[in-house]
Amino acid sequence: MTYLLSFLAGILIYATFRVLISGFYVVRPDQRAVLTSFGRAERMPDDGAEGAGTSPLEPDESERYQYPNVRVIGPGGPYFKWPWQRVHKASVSTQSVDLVWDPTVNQSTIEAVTKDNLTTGVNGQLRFRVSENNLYAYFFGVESPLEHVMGYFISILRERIATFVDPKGHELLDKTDLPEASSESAIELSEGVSINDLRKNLPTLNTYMEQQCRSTPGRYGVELDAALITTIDPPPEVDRALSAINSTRNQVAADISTAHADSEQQITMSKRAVEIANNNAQAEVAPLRELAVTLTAIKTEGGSDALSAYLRNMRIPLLKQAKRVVRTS
Amino acid sequence: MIPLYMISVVMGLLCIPILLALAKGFGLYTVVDERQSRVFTLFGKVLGTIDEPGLHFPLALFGPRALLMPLFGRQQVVSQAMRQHYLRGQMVNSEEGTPMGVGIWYEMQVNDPVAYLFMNANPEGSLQANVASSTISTLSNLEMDKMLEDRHSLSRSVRQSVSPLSEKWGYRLGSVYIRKVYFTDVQMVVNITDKVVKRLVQVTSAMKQDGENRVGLIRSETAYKVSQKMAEAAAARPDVVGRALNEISKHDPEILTSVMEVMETEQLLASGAAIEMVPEGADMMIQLS
Repeated sequence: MTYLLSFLAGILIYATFRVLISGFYVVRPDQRAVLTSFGRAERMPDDGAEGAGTSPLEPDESERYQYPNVRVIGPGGPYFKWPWQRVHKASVSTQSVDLVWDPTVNQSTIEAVTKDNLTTGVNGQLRFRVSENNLYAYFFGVESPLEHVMGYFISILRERIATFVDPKGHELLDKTDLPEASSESAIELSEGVSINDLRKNLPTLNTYMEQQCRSTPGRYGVELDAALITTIDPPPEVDRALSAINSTRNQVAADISTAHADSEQQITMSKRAVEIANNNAQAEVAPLRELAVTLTAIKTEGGSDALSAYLRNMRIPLLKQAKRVVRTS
Repeated sequence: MIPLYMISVVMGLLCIPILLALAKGFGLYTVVDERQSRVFTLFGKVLGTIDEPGLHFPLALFGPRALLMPLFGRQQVVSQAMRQHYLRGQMVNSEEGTPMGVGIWYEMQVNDPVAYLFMNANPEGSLQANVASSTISTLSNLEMDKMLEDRHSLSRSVRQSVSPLSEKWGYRLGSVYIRKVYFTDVQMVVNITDKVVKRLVQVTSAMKQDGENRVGLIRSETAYKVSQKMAEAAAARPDVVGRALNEISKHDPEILTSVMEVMETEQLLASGAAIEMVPEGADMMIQLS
């Protein structure tokens, strides 16, 4: 009887340990969990075999990436699980990974070929997080979700770089108030310098990549938070040539600004010259007008005789200055 | 000497795990995880496959034969999770004869575990070879620009040509992407770099010339406007004085004459010049020394 009780006590100790001591778990605030019973994840009652949430997938992709909706356990606890159940936890906080990350190879940059066939380097980061709406894909559906995301992202990125043209057209020179025809030659020449377009439009490229990767939660259970392509590294000689373009652009802008400033100054000076000439002329005319008014008053009052008398009177001082006066009898 | 009741306790502790291990060992139950298949073979024949996750009892599924499996059969586990592979450096020639390197990335998933295990000794290797040969045949002799820019449609072509074969071996090919297209000839890369540099130099010159043209245009327009204004300034005096004299003349010509006479006399007085006066209307020549 003692041995039987000891045996039962052993079973009880084992059961207590398996059920009570190792049967409770906690899910941290940054974590989500999925519970499996005998290896099977607990499905949602309305499971329509579609865990992609709102991820936009092509019809043929939807066939390939079909995952069931599983019950997600949110942060909290302690939760209880039976010995035949297993908890799968994943952090859903945003993480980042370098673009060059590849477990199969060591590399310092991603090589890509531009539209004008130039081989250039690309660097940057991806910010991602595990998709709460498609944890099945992340835990069970895909063997190495991040490798898939990177493989997909790099493929799309290289394709985009190979076809990228400046969406705003080809303008290396800033617009001024001058006729547009004058910069046609530069615009024609700038076509096809896609490295310049890429550098100028990094935000556009990042936005495009984010749009293209909206399907990753449905595919791999990983959401792309942001694509941060930070550098496009062409060969050094191309870099120098691009720097020369920038220097020239600044020089041209400076020359144009100087020319505008000189022009404004000269035009202002010429306007002032017109005003000065007008004022001088008015100054010259003012005594004439006043004198005319005075003489008109004299004539109005005394007639032509009075006017003649005034003129004669005015000439009297001339006699003071006269050196010689010739008179006829 | 360990007391017997302690041995009983230890036996009680080990009883459940041992029983479970024995039951599993004798194939009384099996647990299938998500995206996993278990293939049961007996006497060289496939007895069946369980690919539904959960707890299963082979005895209920396959009958009494399941009891012979631990001794005379095998239970093989096949993962059906999606995997990926990157085939680097596949060599192709463009239509122009340019040697190009292509990297192709593809996803695959076991969809028929039996075919996967028994139809091909090395399904992964065979799939790689097929993807590689399909890539080479799809991309060879294409225009270089098409190869570089039209990757997605080419990827779909590769997928369509490889899929039927891969499915024979129990594999379902997932997404296929041409992940990298690059030039293998270093000299060609250098030449393209030179071409781009020259183009940039050309753009720089064009910008410089364009800037000079603009500055010239600004200066010439300025010269034109300034010239107009200076002419306006030069014409201001005749315009103002003429208009004033006309106004006085229109009012009374005698007044204008008088005004002019007054002004002239004032100027003469102000100049302090030596004056010799000859009466008006004198009809003789006067010699002045």
